[in-house]
Parts: sequence; structure tokens; C-alpha cells
Amino acid sequence: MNLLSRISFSYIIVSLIVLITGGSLFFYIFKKEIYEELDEQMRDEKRNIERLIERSDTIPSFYSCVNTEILIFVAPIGLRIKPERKDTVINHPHEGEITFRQWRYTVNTEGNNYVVVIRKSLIDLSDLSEQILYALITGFITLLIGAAIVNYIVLRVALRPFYHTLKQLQKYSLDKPGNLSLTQTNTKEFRELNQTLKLMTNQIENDFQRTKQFTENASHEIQTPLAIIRNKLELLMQSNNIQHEEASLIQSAYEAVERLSRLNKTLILLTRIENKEFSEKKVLNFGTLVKHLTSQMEEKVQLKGLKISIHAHSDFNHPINITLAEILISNLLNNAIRYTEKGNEIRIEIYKNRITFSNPGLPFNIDAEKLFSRFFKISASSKSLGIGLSLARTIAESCDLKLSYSYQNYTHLFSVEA
Amino acid sequence: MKILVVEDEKELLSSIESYLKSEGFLCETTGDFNKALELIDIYEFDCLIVDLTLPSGNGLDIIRKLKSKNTNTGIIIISAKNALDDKLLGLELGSDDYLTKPFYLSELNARIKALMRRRNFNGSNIKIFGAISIDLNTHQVKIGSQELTLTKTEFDLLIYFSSNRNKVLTKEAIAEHLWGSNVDQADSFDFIYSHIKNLRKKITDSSGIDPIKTVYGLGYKFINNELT
Repeated sequence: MNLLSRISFSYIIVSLIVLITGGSLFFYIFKKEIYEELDEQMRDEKRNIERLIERSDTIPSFYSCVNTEILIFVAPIGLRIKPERKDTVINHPHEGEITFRQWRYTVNTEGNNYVVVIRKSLIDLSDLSEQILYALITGFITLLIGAAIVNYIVLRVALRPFYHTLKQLQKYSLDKPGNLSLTQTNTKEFRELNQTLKLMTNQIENDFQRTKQFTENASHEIQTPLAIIRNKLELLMQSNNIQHEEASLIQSAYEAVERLSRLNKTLILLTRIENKEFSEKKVLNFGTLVKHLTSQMEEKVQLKGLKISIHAHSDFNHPINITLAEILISNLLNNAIRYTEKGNEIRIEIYKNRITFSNPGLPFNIDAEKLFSRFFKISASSKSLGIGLSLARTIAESCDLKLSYSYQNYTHLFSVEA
Repeated sequence: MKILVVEDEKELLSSIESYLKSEGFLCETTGDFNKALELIDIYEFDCLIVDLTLPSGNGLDIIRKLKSKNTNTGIIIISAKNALDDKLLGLELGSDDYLTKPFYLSELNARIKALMRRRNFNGSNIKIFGAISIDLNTHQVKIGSQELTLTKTEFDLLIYFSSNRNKVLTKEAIAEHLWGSNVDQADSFDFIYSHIKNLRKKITDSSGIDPIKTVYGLGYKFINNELT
């Protein structure tokens, strides 16, 4: 339930409770007033009848009308009836059942005993209360709907800055800093919210820029010393009087430099991808690329005694930067070649918007997502840098592709999906 | 053969100079943009090796100047930036090759020699060293009169070795030369090993001499003195 409907809903519920309570109370008071009025009239009539009876000691003649009925009987002396006031239903020959307010009591004179019954029809009252009830309900419903609509519109207008801010935040991405455009608003809370958000995002953007700048500078600055060390070692190797012991020292140093420079190269590449330096994209047929790259690796595959089969069920075309696409696919291919045992087959399947690389192998027993984290290695002794799959994922993400891993039926499966 | 190396990083410059000198090249070096322009003006070089980012100017301007002189100097760009734009612009201006830092000295050497071969191409393009002759057009390799049948990789490997004779070549440098720098090298070494084994066997079978020496764990050295 969204904020607007939640507020409107609560408003309607509260209004309903208030209106129903208020309506019932009103109705109750109204009815009580009417009864009091009726009783007052009947009291007048009672006094009137008593006066008449006392004056003449006979049954006075009365005219009855639809609303009022007065009955007087002569009763045996000594009959005492407890005076009573009650509502009673009487079957009227024409009108059907009619509810009356009825008073019954005895009047004693010196010689006679009279029973007097005064009835007042409640038909008007029930008509009236019905009318009032209808009027009340109609009024209340109109009021409720009207108020709810007004409330909704007012809220919408009042909450507009909030929704605008929310939308901007949803669109916000660190890749495109400075695109958070929050509108001016007169509502104090929203103004404060926007100011706080602006401050926060500025801070985050600055930090992000600084970190990025640092990685970038560091990798570029490391480049030259690395090149120097590597070349000096290369020169040192050429020396004619190296003994075995020195050779192994040089070798260790050289290997470490190689490792460092490969690592650095990859980090630079990652930074460049994140900096959107490879934004130039072209629609690429993955089938063609895969065929091209596998033919390049054929030697490697043969030497390792593997088989690669490509099954193209459909064409898979997707806009991507060519350089990045090559790195992505060759990383996945290399990965498959590295972890496939001799004699096994690497299957590449191409579907309409998906390409999969699968090879048989024992399970890793680790979280699939961990495979894609930087510097993760299956075994510590592995010569790999543990950055290839992370690079592949960064590339995939930068080109709106989804790279995922799954393990089923003793088969590792990497899938690139548009 | 005269080479001008323009590189502002002193230590890199001295390494390049030292390697190229040991290969018998005549080397002129400078780290200064204006000095480089001056040298181009005065002397005639067979090859220019130039860094693009110099403190006092852009290496591309040195290439422009050189081209305006209408010489037959070969040009190799060495740059820390692996930017495609620079590469394309450099090649457009008339440079012959582009090498991204950090590079192997043996790779630079092989590139210079390949460039020189293309420059001095005169009808037949046969490279002879010792008893081995390589026809670069037909990819035919002979030892004496006996022909060797090599795979493409073995052929590339032989060319690389022959460009860097009597030098220790590390497996890392060989891997990058054969498969480029994007290949994850960790698993390339096994392949290099088997390629070298095959090449070695083919040469030994037809000449009885093994010119490829393993230098401790460092790498391989091609010595063909014995093949003469």
C-alpha cells in the first residue's frame, strides 16, 4: 500500500467511526426528544380527561383521530390497575400494524372507577426517523467521499516534492555523478530532506571520485617502476656468468614482477571499464566471435587433450564493445580450458539471448557469487590471479549482460545472458 | 643500423639502449622533446623509437616532424597509455608499430628487426643465419638443404628466437609474443614448453644439433654458433 492510499485509508476509517458514532448519538437524542414531546402531549390530555371526569362523573365524549385514540371504560369499583406507559402494536383494519405509545391508568371519582387508555400513533415518528436516517446517511456518505477526494488531492500536491525526490533517488547512480536534481519546495521537512540528501550524495560522490582517482593514479604510477624492474632483470639475465643460485634469485624476482604487472594491467583495465572508456558499442554476433576465439585457442585445446563443441541454436546479437567482448569471451574460454580435465568436452551453446559455457568437473563447494569476487582463488597455490572472472563480470555489467554460474549434474556452467 | 630512442624515463632509456647496443645497433638516446627534434634534423636514422608522453611535448609531433622530412625511417611508438585513439593516430601519421609499456626488451628488439626486414625488403625475403634459412614470404624453413615442416606457432617461435639470438628469453616474454598480452599467462607456459620441445626436436632431427638451450629456470636461449 503506498503512502497516499495509506493516509487516505486511515482518514476514511477514522471519518467512518466518527460519523457512525456521531450519527447514532444524534439519532438517539432525537428519538428521546420526540418521546418526551409525546409524553408531554399525553400528560396534557391526561390532565384534561381527569378534569372532565371529575367535573361530570361521566365518560366524556372525545373525538379520536388517526394519531390519537382515547378510550375510557367504566370499571368495577375497587379495580386498581397499575398505571403503565409502553409502546404497543395494534392491528389497524386499514393501515396494518401500527405502533402506538400507550398510557393506561385509572381515574377514581366518588362513585365511579374509570379506566383510561390514551394511544398516540408512532407512525409519524418512525416515518420521520426513517427520513432523518436517510438524510443522515446520504449526507455522511457525500461528506465522506467529498472529504476523501479533497484529502487525496491535497495530499498529492503536498507530497509531490517527496515523490519527486524518491524518483530522483531511484534513478541515481554513482556512475553519473551530479545528476540528482531535487526541486525547490516550501515544505520544511522536504526541504530539509533534500538538503540532507544533497549533502550526502555530494559526500559519497567525492569519496567515490577520490577512491577511483587513487586506483587510477596508483596503477599508472606503478607501471613505470615495474617496467624498469622487469627490463633490468631482463638485462641481468643476459649476463654470461650467472650461476645457478643467482639464476633462481633472478627468476623469483622476475616472476613476482610479472605477476605484479599483470595484476596492475588488469586493475587498469577494470578502472578504464568503470570510467566508461569503452563506451563505443557495436551489435556483435556472439557466435562469430566464439568461433574466432576458439580457433585461436585450438592449439591449446589440442595440447591439453580437450574437445570444444559449439552448438548454435540461434543467433545471439547484442550491442557491446568489441575489445571488451573479446576479453569477456576469452576469459570464460580460458577458464573452462583451465578447469577441464584431459579428455573432456567443453560445450558452448548459443541461444537467442544467451550463451553458455559448460564443462564437466567436480563441484567447488563454495558460494557461486564468490567466484566473481576480486582475488578469489579456488586454491591458494593456483597460479591464476583470481581476477579473470571478476573482470568478466565487470565487463558483462558494463554491457548490460548478466554473467552467472551454476553447477548441475557434475557440470560447471557459465552463462552470459542479455 | 642507427636507432634514435626518445624516452623521458632515464632508467627505461638506459635499459633499452643497453639491450639494443648488445644487439649491435648504434643507439642515440634522449629524454628531451626539443633535443629529439634537433637530432632528427641533423642525422639520418634507420629507426625511431618514441614515447608519446614527454614532459616538454608530444611524441606525435616528433613523428610529424620526421615524416615532413620524407625519410625512410621506421617508427615504433612506445606508450604507457594503451589508448586506441593514440594507436590509430600514431599509425595514421605513419608510424609502423605500437608497443604498450611495460614491454619486454626482447619484444622491442624483435619488432625492430621485423620492421627492418620489411624496410629492407628487396625481392627475396630470405633470412639466413648459420645453417638455417627462413623464407619469410613462403614460411619455408631449411637447414642446409633439408626442409623443416613447422606449424605456425613453431615458425613464429623460430623467428622470435632468431631475432634474439644468444639472449635469454623468458617464457613470459615468449607467451606474450605468441599470444598477446590479454592471454592469462599462467596456463600458457605448458604450451610454450611443448612447442619448444617440438621445435627443438625438428631442428635436432635434421641437423643433429640442439640450438635451444634451457638457462636454469630463467628461460631459453637460442645459440646457433654451432649450426654454422
